[in-house]
Amino acid sequence: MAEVLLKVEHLSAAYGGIRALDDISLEVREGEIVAVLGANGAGKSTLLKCLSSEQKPVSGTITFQGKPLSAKPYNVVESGMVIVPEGRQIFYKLSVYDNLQVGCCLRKDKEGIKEDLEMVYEMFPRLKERENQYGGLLSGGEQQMLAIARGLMARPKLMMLDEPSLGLAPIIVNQIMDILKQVNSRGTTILLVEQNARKALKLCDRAYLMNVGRVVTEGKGEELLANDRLMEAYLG
Amino acid sequence: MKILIQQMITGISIGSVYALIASGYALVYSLLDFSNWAHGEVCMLGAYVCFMATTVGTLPYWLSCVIGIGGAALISLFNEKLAYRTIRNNGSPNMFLMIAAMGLSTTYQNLANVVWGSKFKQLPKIFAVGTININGVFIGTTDMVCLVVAAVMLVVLLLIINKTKFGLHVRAVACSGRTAGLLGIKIDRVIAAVFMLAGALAGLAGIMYGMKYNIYPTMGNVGIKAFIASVIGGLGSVPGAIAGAVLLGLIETVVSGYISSGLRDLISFSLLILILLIRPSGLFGVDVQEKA
Repeated sequence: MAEVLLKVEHLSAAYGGIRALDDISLEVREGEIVAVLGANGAGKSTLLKCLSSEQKPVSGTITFQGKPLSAKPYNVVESGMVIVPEGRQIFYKLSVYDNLQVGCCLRKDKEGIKEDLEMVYEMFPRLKERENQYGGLLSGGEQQMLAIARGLMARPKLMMLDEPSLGLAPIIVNQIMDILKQVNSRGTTILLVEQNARKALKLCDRAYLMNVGRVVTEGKGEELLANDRLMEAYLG
Repeated sequence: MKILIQQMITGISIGSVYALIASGYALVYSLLDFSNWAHGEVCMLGAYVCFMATTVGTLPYWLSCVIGIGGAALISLFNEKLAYRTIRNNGSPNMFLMIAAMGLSTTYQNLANVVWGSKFKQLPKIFAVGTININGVFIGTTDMVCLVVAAVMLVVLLLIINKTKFGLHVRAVACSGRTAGLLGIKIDRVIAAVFMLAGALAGLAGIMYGMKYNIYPTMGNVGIKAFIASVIGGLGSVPGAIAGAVLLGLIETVVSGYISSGLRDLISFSLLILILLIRPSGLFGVDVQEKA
């Protein structure tokens, strides 16, 4: 079995005194696509905030490659974890090219950066066409591609995506899912947080199902997909 | 006609001093969404530091200027580390930043009053104060030097912002500090560097202002002119701030020269209110709403 990349143990976190995460444990192994599913308010976003060191947990531990997670977001990125934030968060007033350059802001290997830029342009020809356009002028789907490409520019070991399908047309969502599969097959491990459970379950190797701050069940993607009662109860 | 040209060059010259202050104003605003009211005092302190350096020992004049500029950069950095960063880390509303800046502004003014007294001080003249005669158009040497130096510095500033990696990070933080941080940009470092850059430009402006006129504790009020300039150009936009500053300098000298110097400030401040009412995003500006 592949090595454990990310390990979350007994993690609890709160928002202004209200408990948003209650004793969460999960792990992501190298090369996997792991989905975290749940309805609004299940604690998915809080989990990602903890994982990107944007929020301090109340208790519990997060380890990445056997080392405790750094308290500074830029050290988290440096260690190989990058987030593709909810709502894409493109820099509207920067060109597509500049958006990508921000993605590799911590890297110094000029050659590697050049290679990765070619790689993302090959994966996303649309971005190359629009290299000099403002990020804000792209369509929703293109912005999501740019957000993923920008994350890839950090050459991450683990990419965490927060609701990449949000607000996109079904056909575009399918494209995004295909892209994630492609990213994964090139060696990047993926942690996917989604409300769109069916699409995510089809894509992922394993999934955790969250409800009001707790992990209620975990299992292989297709197993959870086949469990009608579960799907109805938590994912609708 | 010749007099108009003379007036315009004087106007662009004072406008370029405003531009040095206004661009720092705009930079800080673009990153932190607040008006740094202590910026004018950084400019004043830069002038005093330079003045002190000229009175101590036998430093060459250019070195005194560099010390003044460096001093202003450090004071600007000090403001950020002492006050603004603490307020940000506390998660307080942005209004607190502006209030702290006002406090710093008054503190520095009074401190200057205590240390150096309220009397006007003069920077020594390095070059013969005179006029250059170009085909019957007389231009003050000080005006000319200020204009050229300011123009060079502003071009360098725009190049830094638009062409360097640091500049890219500044623009990214200005777009969204949170996202920039998540992607690995060391936000506090970028902000600190911007405060130093803005402070250095303000220090240079203070020294120029001192060369043109005098040095006195309330000279930081020139910062308000720079604020008007950056509102004209659109808050948070550096090119807008520069354009607004030159425009304001021109308007002021033309009004002083052809109507009455007593009306100068009246016109400037009326313009401020007019812009805020009619075109709050500024003449060249980005939409202020977009930041929300």
